[in-house]
Amino acid sequence: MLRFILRRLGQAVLTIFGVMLISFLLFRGIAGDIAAIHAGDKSSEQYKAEWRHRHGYDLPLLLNVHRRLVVEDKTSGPSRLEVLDVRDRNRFSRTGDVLELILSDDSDHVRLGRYVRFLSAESPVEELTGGKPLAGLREKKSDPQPGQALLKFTLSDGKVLEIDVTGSKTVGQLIRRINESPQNIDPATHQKLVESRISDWTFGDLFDAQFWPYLLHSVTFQARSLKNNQKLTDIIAERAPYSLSLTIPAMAVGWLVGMVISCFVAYYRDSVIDRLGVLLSVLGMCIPFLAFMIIGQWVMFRLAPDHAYGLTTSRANIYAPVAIMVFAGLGRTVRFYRTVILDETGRDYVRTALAKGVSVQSVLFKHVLKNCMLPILTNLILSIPFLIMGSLLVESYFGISGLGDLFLTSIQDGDEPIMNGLVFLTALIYTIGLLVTDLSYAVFDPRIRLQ
Amino acid sequence: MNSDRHKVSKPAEPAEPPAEKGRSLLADARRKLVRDKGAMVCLVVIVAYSLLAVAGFAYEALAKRAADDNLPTFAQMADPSRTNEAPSLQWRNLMGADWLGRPVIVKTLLGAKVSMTVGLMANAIAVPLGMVLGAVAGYYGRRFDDVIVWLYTTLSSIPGIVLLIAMRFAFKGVTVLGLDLTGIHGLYIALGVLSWIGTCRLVRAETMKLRELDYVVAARASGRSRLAVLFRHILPNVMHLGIINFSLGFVGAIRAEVILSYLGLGVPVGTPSWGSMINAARLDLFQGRWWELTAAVGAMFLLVLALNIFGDRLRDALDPRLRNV
Repeated sequence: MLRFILRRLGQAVLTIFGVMLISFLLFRGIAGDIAAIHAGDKSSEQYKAEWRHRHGYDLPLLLNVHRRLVVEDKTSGPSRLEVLDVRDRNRFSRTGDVLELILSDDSDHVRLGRYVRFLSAESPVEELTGGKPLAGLREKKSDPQPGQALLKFTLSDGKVLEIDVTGSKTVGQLIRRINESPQNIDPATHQKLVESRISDWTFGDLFDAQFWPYLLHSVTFQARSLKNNQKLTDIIAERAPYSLSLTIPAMAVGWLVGMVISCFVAYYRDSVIDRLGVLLSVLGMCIPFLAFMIIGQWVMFRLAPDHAYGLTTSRANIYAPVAIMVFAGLGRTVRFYRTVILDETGRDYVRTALAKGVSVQSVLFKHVLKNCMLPILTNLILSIPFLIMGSLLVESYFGISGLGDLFLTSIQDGDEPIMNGLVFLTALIYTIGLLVTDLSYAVFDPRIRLQ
Repeated sequence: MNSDRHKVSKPAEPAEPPAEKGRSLLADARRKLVRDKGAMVCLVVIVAYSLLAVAGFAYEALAKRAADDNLPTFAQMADPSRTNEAPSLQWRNLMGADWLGRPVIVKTLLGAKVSMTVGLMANAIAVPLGMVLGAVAGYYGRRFDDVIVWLYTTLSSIPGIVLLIAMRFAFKGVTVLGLDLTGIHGLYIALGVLSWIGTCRLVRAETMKLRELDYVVAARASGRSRLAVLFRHILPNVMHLGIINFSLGFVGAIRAEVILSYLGLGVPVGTPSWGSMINAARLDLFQGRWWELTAAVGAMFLLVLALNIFGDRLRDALDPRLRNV
């Protein structure tokens, strides 16, 4: 039993991990430029790059394996290169025609370039600079002839070194320019002041990537909205009540109505009532949910115009959305419950009970129904997270600011932490629900434990 | 010893007539379906919708090429003088006009094109994917099984609609192999890679059963490679599951397309589709205009009903054991 529980727990953890990986890859890996949405589409490349850096979007996605451009300070022992301007780490920036090396690393090495994964001597230099050529580029047409590209850095002895790297097209050329520049030779000792090269493959910062902090933030619910820096937990606490006040009644009423109808239909098995019930539920299944929603609201509007939209003004506003969710799900529910009940009535114990003279009602409602509850309750538990998100359409249509509505708006706003947080939350609830059902099956039904 | 015994004698009687050739599973299913009047009616409806879709393609191609007022494209049918006209007996206004004065009946008929292609393409991706993954998981077992089961458990623990919306968001502005995923191609792919799970589950379970059967063991013993056994002996025997899931998956894809188009995440703006019709008409009821909503919902209802019933009958004909799944 303990082994079973442990194995199931392991599976659940792996599933959650998979969900996070998938939603992470979808929202960060493939999705377009989030910086463009939040920093403004028309803002400068530099501003966007800064935004990305501030929010950690400039790191590699999963694993940080890379080769960097390294510049070592040779002037005096273990020292560090200091730079003129500390604004962002590891990137070039062009100010006018002077290219400055800008970084804030506390290491002995100056690391140039962002995390370029496959940097080689042949890589174009644009890989280091975020797409901008070193020199020879005029930002505006009115600019004079492009000037020099200078790499400026302050050495550990306080001297400022300026190296002309104009015209370097590849990283290899850039390295040669730095190493062989006349300014790079100390006039006193004839030694090189700085030495530049491409580093070996670096595995040391393997987890200095986007995914792992994201994982930590999700598990500890620390994510914050990109839009207004509000904590995800606060947003959920504020909005969940609206969703719950919609889904809990919808679920309860839907279950009750579904049970009553399917018992009724199953009791009159193979009669006109049964046929009619099945026919109606098939027809109901085929009506699109949107039609239920739109027509439902219209009917509510005709009956009580004040209660057909929004939720905050009156409690009666909940009737229409709940009724819509119940009706839309009824066809499927009745069909499923009826199948379960009829499956159960075919069993031997039912025949035995009938043979020894127990009345049909008694068999149906006392024995059969009790045994049907297991699959029906499982079905119900598993639909919980789908109800949270399933009310997405209803919520946005009725102007109820619940979680489904939140998800839709955060998709529209490109608010990535909120989207990921909500996906994580639903998957978590679903997995826990599944786990609890499986374990309670195992506790109450010894046949499952043996498998 | 009687030497006659060893003599090869001509058979006295004529050779026995060859035993009646057994019907294949598919032929058997076809017979069952042809006898089933309900299924045939549904099939006729489905074929009619498919023809409509083909006609829609043909018409759009012709109209685009002709660039002629007598053969207007759908966008050219806009007519400001007819905005929101109520249905009348004129053919153009049989189902009224929409907010740009375009005939709703044409819009609805063209909507069949989107729905049918989405259903077809999504399943053309999903069903082979599900079958191959399911067969590999079921046949090879162990690591393959673990990974594939993990993959579909993971995918199925995110609500489908959320995942679909997420994928459409992620595909915005992405181009792969010259296909712009923002548009309809992305819709096919998103639906395709999300709806293989049902097929995969069934095929995996069936393959696990087949794997232990004598004929598979014999094929292995006679030296066929695992891959050959998988493709020659196992996949053909789970093909019926693919067919069943293809017809049932159609409904799911059509529903999903309608919801996504309603949310503005489906077909590109301006493409006539039932989802965008419902979206355009959602406030119409309050102004007494029922025709656009009714046309879209009615067209979809009929198709989904036919597909549902036909799918059920097909399942019963191909695999009676699955009836209660």
